[in-house]
Amino acid sequence: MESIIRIIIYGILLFINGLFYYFLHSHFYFMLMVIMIVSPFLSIIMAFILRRFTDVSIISAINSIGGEYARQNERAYFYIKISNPTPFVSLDTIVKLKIKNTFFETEGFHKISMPIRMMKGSKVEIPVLATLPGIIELNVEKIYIKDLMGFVRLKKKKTSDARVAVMPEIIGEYNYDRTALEQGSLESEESSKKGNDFSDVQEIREYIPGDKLMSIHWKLSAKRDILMVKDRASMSDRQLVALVELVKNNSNQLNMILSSAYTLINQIVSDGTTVRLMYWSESRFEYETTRIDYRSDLDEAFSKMYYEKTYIDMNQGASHMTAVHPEIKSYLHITSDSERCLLNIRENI
Amino acid sequence: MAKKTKKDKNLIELCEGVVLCEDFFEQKEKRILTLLLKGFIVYLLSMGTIGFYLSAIHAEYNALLCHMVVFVFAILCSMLYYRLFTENLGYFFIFVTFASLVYLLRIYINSGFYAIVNMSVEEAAQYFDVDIQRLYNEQIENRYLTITMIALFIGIVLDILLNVYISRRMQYATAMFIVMFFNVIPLYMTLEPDILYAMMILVGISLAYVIKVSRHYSPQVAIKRSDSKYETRGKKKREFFYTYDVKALSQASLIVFIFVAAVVTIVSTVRPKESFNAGYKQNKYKEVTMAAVGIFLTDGWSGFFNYGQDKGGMNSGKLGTVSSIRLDYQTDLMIKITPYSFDTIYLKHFVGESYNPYENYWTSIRYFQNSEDTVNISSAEAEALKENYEQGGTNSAKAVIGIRNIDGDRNGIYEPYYIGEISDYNDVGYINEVFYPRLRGNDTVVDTSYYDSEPFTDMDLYVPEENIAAIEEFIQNFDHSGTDEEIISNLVNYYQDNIPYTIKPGKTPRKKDFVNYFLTENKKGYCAHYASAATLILRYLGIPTRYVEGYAISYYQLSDAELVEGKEYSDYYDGYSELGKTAVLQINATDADAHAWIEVYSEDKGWYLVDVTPAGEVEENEDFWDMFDNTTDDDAADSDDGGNQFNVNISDSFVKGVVYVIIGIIAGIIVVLLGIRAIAGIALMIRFLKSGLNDRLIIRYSSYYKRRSRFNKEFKNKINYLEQIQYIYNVKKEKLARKNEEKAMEFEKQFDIERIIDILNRAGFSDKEILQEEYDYVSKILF
Repeated sequence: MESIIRIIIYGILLFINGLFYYFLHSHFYFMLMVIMIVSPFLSIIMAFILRRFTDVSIISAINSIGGEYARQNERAYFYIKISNPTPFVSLDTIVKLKIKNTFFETEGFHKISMPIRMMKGSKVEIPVLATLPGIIELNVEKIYIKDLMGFVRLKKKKTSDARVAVMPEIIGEYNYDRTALEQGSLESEESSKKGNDFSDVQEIREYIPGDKLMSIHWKLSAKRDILMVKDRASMSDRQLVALVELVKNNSNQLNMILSSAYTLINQIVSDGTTVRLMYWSESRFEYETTRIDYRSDLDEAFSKMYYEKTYIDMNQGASHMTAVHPEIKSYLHITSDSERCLLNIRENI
Repeated sequence: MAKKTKKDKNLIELCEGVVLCEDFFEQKEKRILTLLLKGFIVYLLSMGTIGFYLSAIHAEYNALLCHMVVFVFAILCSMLYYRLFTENLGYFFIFVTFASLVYLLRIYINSGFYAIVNMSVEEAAQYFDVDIQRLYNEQIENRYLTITMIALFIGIVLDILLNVYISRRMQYATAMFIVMFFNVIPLYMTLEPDILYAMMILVGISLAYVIKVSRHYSPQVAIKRSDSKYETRGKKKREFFYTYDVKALSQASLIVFIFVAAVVTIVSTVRPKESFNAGYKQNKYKEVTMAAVGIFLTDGWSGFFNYGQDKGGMNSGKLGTVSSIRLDYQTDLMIKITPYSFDTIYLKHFVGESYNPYENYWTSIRYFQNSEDTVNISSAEAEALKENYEQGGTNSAKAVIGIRNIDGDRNGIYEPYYIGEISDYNDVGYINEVFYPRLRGNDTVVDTSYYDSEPFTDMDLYVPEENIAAIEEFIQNFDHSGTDEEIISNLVNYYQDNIPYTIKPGKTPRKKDFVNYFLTENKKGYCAHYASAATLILRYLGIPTRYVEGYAISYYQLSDAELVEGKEYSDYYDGYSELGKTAVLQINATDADAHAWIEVYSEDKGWYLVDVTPAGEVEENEDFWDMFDNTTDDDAADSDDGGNQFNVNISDSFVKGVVYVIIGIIAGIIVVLLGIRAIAGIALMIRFLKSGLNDRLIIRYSSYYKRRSRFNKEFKNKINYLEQIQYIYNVKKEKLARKNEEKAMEFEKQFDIERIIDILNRAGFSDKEILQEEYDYVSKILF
C-alpha cells in the first residue's frame, strides 16, 4: 500500500513536471524529467541486485565478554548481520524476526528496520534478557529490501537462526539436611573422592580431550606414558540421585523447578558431592541420566535437558522410578505444585 | 556478566520469557553527522536556487563568498536541531543578528533587489519585445556589490526556511516548491541557469526525496533530540527502526550524486542547453500566457483590472481609466471594399457630443442601439455628395463597403464617410453600406438646405466650465487666429511639435480631468487624448466639433488585403477613383485598427473628419488598445515623491491584486485543508467498511471521542473507558432528566456501564468478534 501511494504521488509529480516541461520547454526541466523517469528503474534494479547478493545471518554471543551459556536475568547478545558485496545501498530493509523459548514453547514476532551499507553490509546488536531459562532462539526467515526511491520492497527468503541456552538463576542458598541427603549417597561420594574405588569403573581407556582431570588414572598413565582415564559409566545406589520433574502447568512452575534444581545441585556439587541428575524424557520414554561433578557438568546437563518436552503431571518422572531403576534406594525429588517448589528425599519403593 | 539494571525497567517483551534490553535503544549514532549532511542538502538547495536565478539572468556577483556564507549558515542552521535548547536559543540569536544586519545593510540589500528585478525586467523586455519603462531606482550603482548582498540575504533566508523543511520535517515537496517558485521566472523567458546550479538543485531535491522515502532520519527523533540509533514504532512496539545511520546515508547520497551528475552530463552533452530551444516553436498555451505576462510587465498588477469596456477595440468614449484591454489581434470586422484613394478609410462608430469632465467620458450623440436602426442613417453631407455623384460632379463617386461584424461592438453599425443608405446587394453575413466619398477635387458644397434642422447645436460648441481654464492656458501656446482651417492646422502642428505621442501616457490620476491633465500636466498621450482635447479647444474657439471613435484602415493595410474572387468591381464602386479601377478586396480590422479623431463643421463641407493625432502614430501606435493599455498610476506617483525608490508606484490595483492574491491563498488553504479532511474521512470510511464489528465499534467510538473531546475539556481529561462512559452516562442522564423524567428513567435502565465497557474492551483487545447485538447496543446507547 505504501509503495502504491508513493508511486501515485510520484506519478503526480512526474505529470506536473511534464506539464512544466511542456509549458516552458526548459533544459532544466528536461533534465529533471530524465532523472525522474530513469531513477525509478535504476533504483529498482539496484534493489534486485541487492536481493540477489545480500545474505543475512544471525549469530549469538552469550554475553559481551563471551561465554558458553547465558544466565537467567542477565544479558545475552544476538547479532543480525546483512552482508552486501555490491556497491548499492538500501536505507530501509526490514528483517522479520521470530523469537522463541523452545523449552517453554513461547514465541513472538518482531521487525527490525536497518540499512544495508554498500560493500560491507550492516550489523545490528540485539541485547536480550531471558526472564525464563531454556533455549532462546532467534530466527530470520525473510528480509524485505526497499529500493532507494521507495517503489518496491523485495522479499528475500533466507533462513538463519541462532540459539542460546539460558541457565536458571541461582536463587540463594539452601540449608539442606545433609544427613538426609547422605542416606544413600555418601558411600559413593567418599569412594569417588578417594579416587581409588574401581567398583563403578566400567573401563579404562585413553584420554579424550574434554575428560575431567579427576578421571585420569595417574598411576596407569605414568606406566604407559600416555594419559589413561577411568570411565565411570556405571552408577551405583550410593551416589546422590536428583530427579527433576519437567512439569509445566505454567511457566512459573517450571521456572521454579529449574531454578531450585539448578541452585541446589550447584550448591551440592560446590560442596564436593557428585550428583546424578535424572529427568524423565517424554519423547524417548526413558530416564536421562547425567553425572554432575562440576558446575560445568550441570550447565551441560541443563542445556541438554532443555530439548526435552515438558509435561503436566508433577510426579511423572517419579512414577516410573521403581520400575526402571529399582537399584536406586532413594533420591532427591525436585518438583512443584504450581505454587511452590517441592524438594523431597523419596524412597524408591 | 552485566546484571539487570534500573534501565531495564522499560523492557520490551520479545516473547514470553525474553525481553529486549534497554541497551538496544542506547546504541548511539553520530547524529551530528546526519545533521551535517542535512545541512549540506540545505546548502545545495539554497545556493542552487540563488545561483540558478542569478546565472540565468547573467548577473555578476561574488559567487565564492556566497557559497561560503550560505554553506556555513546552512550547517549552522541544521546544527540548531541538535538540542532543543540550541534550537530555541539559536533561532532567537539568528533572528536578532539577521534583523540587525538587514537593517544596517538595507540600502545594499534594497539596491541589490532592485538590481535583480531590473535585470529580470530587462531580460523580459527583450524576450517579450516590449518597451518597459518602469524600472526600480538603484541607490547604489555597484551591482556586483549589491547583488552579492542580496544573494547573501536571500541565501540566509532560504537556509532558515529550507532547514525547517529538510532538517526537521523532511518535506521535500515543499522544499521543491520553495526552490522552484522563483526559478520559473527565468525559465519562462528561456533563460537557463549554469549547469552547476541546476545540478545542485537536482541533487538536493533527489537527496531530500530519498531521505524522505527511507522513513528514517525522521523528524520525530529530531524533536526528541536523542542520539539513539533505534526507536520503536507501533502501539505494540513490535517494530524497531533505526533512526540514523550516517554511513548508509552518505553512501546513498553518493549514489544519488553520481546518478544526477551522470544524467546532467549526458543530457548536456546530447542536448546542450545553448541549442536546446533551437527550432522550437512555443506551445500555444504559453503564447496565451505571454500576453498576460506582457501586461504584467508593462502595467503590473493593475494591468489585470479593466476599468473600461472592452468592445473589440472600441471604448465608447470612456477615457483615461482604461488600463488593460488586451490586444487579441483577432478580427473585429471583416471588410470588403475597392480601394479608391491613398487616404485612410475611417469607419465611425461612436460620436461624442458632450464631454463629462472629471468623470472622463463622452456622451454619445449618435450611438445606434441596434443594427436594425439603419433607416435614417444618411447625413446631409451624404445627400449633397450623392446628388453631386448623380449629377456627374467632379471627382464624385459612389462606393459600397461590406462590413461583417465578427467581434466588434455590436451596438450600432460602422459607417464610412459619407454613408447614404444600406445597399440591397446580397452578400451573406455582410451589411453593405453605400457611401459617397469626398475625394480630392470634389468641392461639393453642403449648405444648410441639406439639413433637416440646424447643422449643429449648442452642444457641438459646449465646453464644460471645468475645462475652460486649462484650454485658455493651452491655446496661448499656438496661434489660434485665422480661419477655422488655419486654427485646426495650427493646433495639429502644435500637437505634432510639442506633445509627443506615446502609448504609455499613464492612467489619468483619480479626481483629475482627462483633458486638463493631458493639456496641462502630462502633455503626452494617444489618439483619444488628442481628439478629446482638440474637440474642446476647437469648440472653445467657436468651431463646432465632435469627438469620434471607430476604425481607421490605412492604404498600407489595403495594399496587403486579400483579393475577393467572384466579386465585380462595378458592384462595389462607380465613379472617379484616385487609384483607377481596382478590385474587391477583403481586409480584417482588429483592435489594433481602433482609433479616435474629430469631426468639424464647416459651412462649405458640412461635417468633415480631421485626424488630429500627430504623425508618427503609425510607427509608434499601431493599435488603439495600446493607448489604453498603459496605465501607470500617476496619482500614486504624485503622492510618492518622498524618497521612495520606486519609479513604479503602488496603485489601488496593486492593492487589489494583493488582496486578491491573499484571498486566493486563503481560499486555496481552505480548499486544501478541506480536501485533506475529506480524504481522511474517506480513508476512515473505507477502513470502517472493510473492518469487522470489533474494529468498526472502536473506529466509531474513537471518532465519537475525538469529536466530543474537541469541544469538551472535561471529557478530554477522562483517560479510560470507565471514566469516559461514566461521564457520558451522567451528562446524558442529566440532559434527559431536565426534559423528561420518564425518559431519563428508561435511559438509566438501558445504560449498562459495565456491559458497554466490557463490549468496548473486547472489541479493542480480544481476538474474538463481538456480537452484532452488542455492536447495535453500544451504537444505540452511545452514538
